[in-house]
Amino acid sequence: MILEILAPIQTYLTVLLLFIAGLLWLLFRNKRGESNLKPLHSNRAYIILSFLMLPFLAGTFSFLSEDIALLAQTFLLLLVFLSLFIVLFKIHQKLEAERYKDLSDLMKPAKKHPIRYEFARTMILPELQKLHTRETDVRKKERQSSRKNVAALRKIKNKEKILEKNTADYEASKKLLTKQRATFTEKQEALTKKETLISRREATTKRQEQTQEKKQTSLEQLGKKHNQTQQDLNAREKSISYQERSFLQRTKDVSRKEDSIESRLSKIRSQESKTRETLDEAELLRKKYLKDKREMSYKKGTITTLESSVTTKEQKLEKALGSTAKKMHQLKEREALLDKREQRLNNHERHIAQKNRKVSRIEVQLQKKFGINALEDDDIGEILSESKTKKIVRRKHGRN
Amino acid sequence: MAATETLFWMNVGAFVCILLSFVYFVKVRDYEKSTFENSINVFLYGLLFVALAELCTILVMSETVYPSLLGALGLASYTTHLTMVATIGLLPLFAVCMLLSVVFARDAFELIE
Repeated sequence: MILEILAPIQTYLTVLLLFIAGLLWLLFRNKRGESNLKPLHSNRAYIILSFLMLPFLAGTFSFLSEDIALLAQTFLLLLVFLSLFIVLFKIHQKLEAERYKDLSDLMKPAKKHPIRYEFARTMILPELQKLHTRETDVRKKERQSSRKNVAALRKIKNKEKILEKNTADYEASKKLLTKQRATFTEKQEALTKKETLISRREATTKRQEQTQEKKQTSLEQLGKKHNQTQQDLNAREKSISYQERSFLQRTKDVSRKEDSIESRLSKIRSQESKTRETLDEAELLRKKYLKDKREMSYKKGTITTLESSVTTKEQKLEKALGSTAKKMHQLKEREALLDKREQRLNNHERHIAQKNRKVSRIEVQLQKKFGINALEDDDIGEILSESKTKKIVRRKHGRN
Repeated sequence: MAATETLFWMNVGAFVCILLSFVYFVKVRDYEKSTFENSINVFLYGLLFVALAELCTILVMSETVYPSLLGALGLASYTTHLTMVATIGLLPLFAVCMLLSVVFARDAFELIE
């Protein structure tokens, strides 16, 4: 109920407000003049605003029928907003063209556009002044900081030295890393190869699985056949069991024979062990023979060396024998001389022996005559025997 | 029926014109001085309210022209409410916005001087 009363009041209010707005703008326009409204580019849109009350005003007329009023309202609304759109479109195009022109003028260095100077005055100059003040501040700060920087530079130099050391270490570690990377890449390549191999194997296993599935199906079919065959086999097994009983007796005989064969086999094994022992001994002898052979060959080598040394010694001995032959010849000459002297001595001895015999005869004659002791005779015999032995020794020396 | 259909399409045309004028006014705003910014913004708000009111009237009229449209949107039972919202709320707001935009424009001109 309230809304129904409020609705026409609100429509009247809108018409009134729009009328006031349009009137205000038209009065303002008349007061200032159209040329003074240029700062606002879209002032024509505001003029259309003054016509916006018309459609709403047409809707409130009571002397028109409702349909005609609605038609008039919608038609006027369409007309007003179409005109607003056209006006705004034109303004936009005009402004865009002007802006394009201004921008193109700004791009040309030869033309001196007023906007340029204005831009320079309003925008760049204050910025430049700010920059100058900043520059002076920065210079002051730089002077202050330069003093601090000297100390800081020393510290930095020290740090640089440390850094250089660190960089050297880093380079060494880098080289190590490169080596490790190389190994890593090699391992990676190996892994990729393995992966490919695994993928191939997987493919093969899949194929095998498929084949196995096929085989399983075939096996199931075979299983059915197997059941049938098993039934046949059961019947056969019964017949075989009868035959087995008959075979059992025969197997007992065979087992007895097997026991006898086993006893023989044990004897043969003992003989085999003996023969193996003899063979081991033969092998040991063979090894000893080989050792002896090696020693012999080694001794032969030593003998050949000795022979060579002996030949050299023989040559020396021959030389020595040559010298000894000369000495022997000299010695023979001396012996001949000595033999002559011996012959003389022998002759002398014979002469002495003849004399002794004469003396002994004389002594015997004297004993017979005067009777001298038997002891004295023994002494004479000894003297005589001594003279004989001396003669024999001299003869031997003469022969040599 | 034909009259209502023409009315419906005229309203649609008006709605499209409002939207286009809104878009171009936004574009023109970039070239305007900052002193007129408040006035233009209020004008744009007014256009937005008119566009909403126009949309409400289009939906109400579609009940007779395309009866299945409102049913599909689920607004069949809100037609009377839509007209009330448009007449009581949106259109007076539009009028207020227009008045305020004129006032702000006058103030901006005085500020420039």
